[in-house]
Amino acid sequence: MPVHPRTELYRTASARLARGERAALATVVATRGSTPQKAGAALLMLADGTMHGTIGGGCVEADVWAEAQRLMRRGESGLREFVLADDPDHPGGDVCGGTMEVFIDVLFPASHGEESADQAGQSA
Amino acid sequence: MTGVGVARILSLLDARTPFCLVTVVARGSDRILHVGGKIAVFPDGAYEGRVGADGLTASVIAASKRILGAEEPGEVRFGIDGEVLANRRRMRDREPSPDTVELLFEPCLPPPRLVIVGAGHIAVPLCALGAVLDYEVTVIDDRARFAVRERFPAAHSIVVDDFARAIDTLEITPWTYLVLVTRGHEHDEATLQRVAGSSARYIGMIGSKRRVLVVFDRLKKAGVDPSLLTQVYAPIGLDLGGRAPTEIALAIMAEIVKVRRRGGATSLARFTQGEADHGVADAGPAEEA
Repeated sequence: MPVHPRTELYRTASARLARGERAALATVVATRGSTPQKAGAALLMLADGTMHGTIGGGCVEADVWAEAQRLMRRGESGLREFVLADDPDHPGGDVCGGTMEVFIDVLFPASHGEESADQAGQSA
Repeated sequence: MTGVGVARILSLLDARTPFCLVTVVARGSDRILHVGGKIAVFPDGAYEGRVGADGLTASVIAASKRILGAEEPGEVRFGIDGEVLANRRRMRDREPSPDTVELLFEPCLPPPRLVIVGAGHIAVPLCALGAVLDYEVTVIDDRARFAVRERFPAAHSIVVDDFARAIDTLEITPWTYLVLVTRGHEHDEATLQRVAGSSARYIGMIGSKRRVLVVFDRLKKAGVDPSLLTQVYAPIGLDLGGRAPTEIALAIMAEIVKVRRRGGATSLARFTQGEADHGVADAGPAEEA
């Protein structure tokens, strides 16, 4: 049965939050130029380093993961831009060259979710 | 309550409740929800969560409705009092000014539902194509030997019942696509009479142009509002010129995609929807047996 593609990401996130872990949900907000995924694509990153979903390929996801780890430590969410630079090692490869604006949403365990999030928002 | 949390979003998704998820992705003012804060806006304009600035709420609801209709996510910048601002030229320029807020709107809709009324030879490939395109397919027929799982392995549900009763118990939503391909025009006609004017996103009925016009004529005489009939795609399908049942099913499914995504391909129904008839011979697909 088809389900909304987001459902399983939220189910996984919800289970991890219930265990007291943080998680980060990266969503493509806007794109310019040629990009592998468009607005609405999502990648869920868990505290143990596993990822679910995709926002388009290894290179940009590695950058997003690094930024998500930083944001998870700081306890705040943020809008970031990622440039899909030409890869000189792969001329003519799967180079896109566009830019993606990605919202990295740091999700907190429910017990202190709103409070932490409010503080994060104010310090942003 | 300030925002909608992950658990609540999951329960809405699991319940297949249509809603627009609105997330604050950047803000320049303390007068609104924090960055990452979310609200859920329902198609009727009701909402859960609170944006914060009252002037913004009406604009957020209006934008949510538009996003739900378009079925595409989008980012919108607002002034703190709700005025829609132009999107930033450059993404890099991400420092929001004090009185602006950027919101991400994501439509969270139940899967589109394809309802095939009539389990004949067009229905078989149509069901398969619909499933491939991630439609939740329901097949209805009053003949138990046709409406069987062996013929429709990819169907989400198969209903064996009198057409009228099956249609009356069907939940028709703005994400429902109805295809009338019964074995006899009297069944298509009776079904069309019941569903014309429903909230279905698409109603298509098989039949040659001549046959369709006869059916429309009878329905008008029976008191059906003619303006409702102009919204019916009949003859059904895009003008692909196909002849085999699979080709006709493809033309039907392609027409549904065109309607859903607001494409510009030409439908055979142009002959009956008030556009000029260019003298093309009776071009409707073969009638269902």
